[in-house]
Amino acid sequence: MNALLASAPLLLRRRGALADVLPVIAFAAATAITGTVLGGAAAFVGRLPADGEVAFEGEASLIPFLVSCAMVASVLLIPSAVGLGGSAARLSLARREQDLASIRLVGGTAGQVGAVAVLDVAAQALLGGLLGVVLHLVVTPPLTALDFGIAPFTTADLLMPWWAYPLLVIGMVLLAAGSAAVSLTGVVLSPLGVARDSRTVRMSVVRLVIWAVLILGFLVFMQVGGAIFGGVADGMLFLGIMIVFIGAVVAGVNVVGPFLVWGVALLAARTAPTPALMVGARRLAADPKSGWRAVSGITFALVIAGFLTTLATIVPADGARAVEDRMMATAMSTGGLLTLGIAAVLAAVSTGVTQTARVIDQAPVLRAQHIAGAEVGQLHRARIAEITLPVLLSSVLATFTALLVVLSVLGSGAADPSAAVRYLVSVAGAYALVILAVLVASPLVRRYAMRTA
Amino acid sequence: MNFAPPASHPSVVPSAPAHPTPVLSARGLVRTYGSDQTATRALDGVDLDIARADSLAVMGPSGCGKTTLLHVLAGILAPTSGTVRLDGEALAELGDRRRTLLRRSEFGFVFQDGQLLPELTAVENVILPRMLGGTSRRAATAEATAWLDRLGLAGMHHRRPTQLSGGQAQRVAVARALAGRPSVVFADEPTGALDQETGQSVLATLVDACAETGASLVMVTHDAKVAAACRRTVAMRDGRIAREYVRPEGAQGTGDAR
Repeated sequence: MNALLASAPLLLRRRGALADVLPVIAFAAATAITGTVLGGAAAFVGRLPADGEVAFEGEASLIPFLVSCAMVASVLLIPSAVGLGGSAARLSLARREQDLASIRLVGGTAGQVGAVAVLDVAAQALLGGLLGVVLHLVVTPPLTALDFGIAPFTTADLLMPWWAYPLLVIGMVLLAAGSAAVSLTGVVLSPLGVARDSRTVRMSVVRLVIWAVLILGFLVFMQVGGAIFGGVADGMLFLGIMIVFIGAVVAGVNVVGPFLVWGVALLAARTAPTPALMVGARRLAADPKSGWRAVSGITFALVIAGFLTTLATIVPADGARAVEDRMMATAMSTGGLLTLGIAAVLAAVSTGVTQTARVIDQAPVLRAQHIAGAEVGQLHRARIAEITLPVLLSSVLATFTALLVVLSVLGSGAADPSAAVRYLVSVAGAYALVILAVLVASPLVRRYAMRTA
Repeated sequence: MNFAPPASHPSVVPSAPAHPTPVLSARGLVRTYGSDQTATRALDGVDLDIARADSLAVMGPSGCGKTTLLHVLAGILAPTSGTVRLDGEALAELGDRRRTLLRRSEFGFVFQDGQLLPELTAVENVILPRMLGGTSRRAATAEATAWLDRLGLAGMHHRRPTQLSGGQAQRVAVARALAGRPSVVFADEPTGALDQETGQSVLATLVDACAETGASLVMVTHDAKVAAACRRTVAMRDGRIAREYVRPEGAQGTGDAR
């Protein structure tokens, strides 16, 4: 075993700068975003009164609510960041599959190969994690300029305690190693090559039914729940059930999303009038979960941002608590947009990494297509079609869900044209970033398509 | 070199083309890789004419320059010197875009491992180049369906390449190459990844279909039995055409290269 591990660096060929760098970039981004989000949440927690005293006016009266908002944002973003780390591990492993098969050929057992693969991924995660901490330290000072309506945060407020950073890096390494180990169970690395399950993907309509039932239940509850539960515990039971319903409806977006991506992609592939749409839709239909994963984080962020920006516009500007209300409006507006911004960056990094990896995998096919007469522009358009479908579905789902929650909870009086315009601009900006991320791999597409030997 | 025919062979060894005018003509082709001391001459003064509806096998050991010759003839690689003309038009004088469009409209390609898009169904793989050329999906699908049926793939139109056998997938590649009614079909070891029986069946399909549509066939192979399916065979060595053998009309692929 030791001999094999010692010789592993020789056997694991470097795949070229980009293929090796991509997983490290993804690990770095995941670490930096996790650190920044946790640091931000901790900064809000740090403003809570130390003695547990409850304040009824001024900034202190808002802090408990803002801490809750920060926790919600963290719960929203951390899984996406962790998911990016997992994707990076799978990507790193995919780059190595042929090398690992070669190690089997020269005598490595399945266990030894697994150990080499996991260690290789863990080493990249360690490097990415360290770079991510540096990146987090670099981006934190500019974040102090954000206006949350309350006293500004200092850089020291937004940084985590020193001991949290080694834990963050170790966590990323363990996550990467675990993801690699799990991914290895779905791949057969034989001495003759790599075998992967390639069954046709089918998504169950049960996903759609679950979400429809949740929405129906929510709408019925909002109509009759007040009369039934309004009097219990000063309405707190009604409020509790409503929050659970909202959480379930928003979480349900992740259940119905892959089904809708699959269904729409199948329909588009069968009827596509252009070759780019046909190819893009087919690729998406073959792996709808991956297509949805690229935009799921941004969908959640858009729902929350939609809710918070609408809420911010209906906070009364006068009255006894006018100062606090203005603070609250600013905090919710900034928090919503910040959450959306981080989700968009996460989605863009994830899309850029995934798309670049896919282009590397497809190099021989890209070249064959170009030889057979496909122009490079047509190859680009197929890739853009592949991400545009989930983006469109995500924006429709996010807008629908945000409207459903806002109108059910706040009523039609919440309809504010300026908030709607700001929201739509945010939607367009976030998705433009994701689509731009696809273009990162464009030079590679041209290079592979036109490679002559 | 033995050109004995395989047991199962194309039903017809193509007869001499009715139009001896070359559709593709190469003169003085030289292609060098690298420079200075590391330079390798993959092609070293190749002259070749390919008549309309003719079939040509390019044989030779690994590294003799046969795949480079195919790439230069198809306008994928530019020769270091020399010219390739398609119907009198010099490929080297065309820009990359024009050459790409030319490959799409005038040439068909069959690769060793098919190079089908794994996510697309069989029929979609066939219609893709036609749609890229501006043909409507409906018209392209009608053509593709006819081709797939003709090549024995009826009922498999909506299967993905992973749901087809190697031979079936290669038939899809043949249908893709021929659906656009190209002037020339280039095949690079089209049976190299198949077992002997399946390979011969696919080969018969390819040669017969080219003969029926009037497309010229240029096929690179290292297998003499595969080469015997073509009317002409050139054997390459060190970047040059060392020998040429023209099979007599109706000879059913027998004979030796001399």
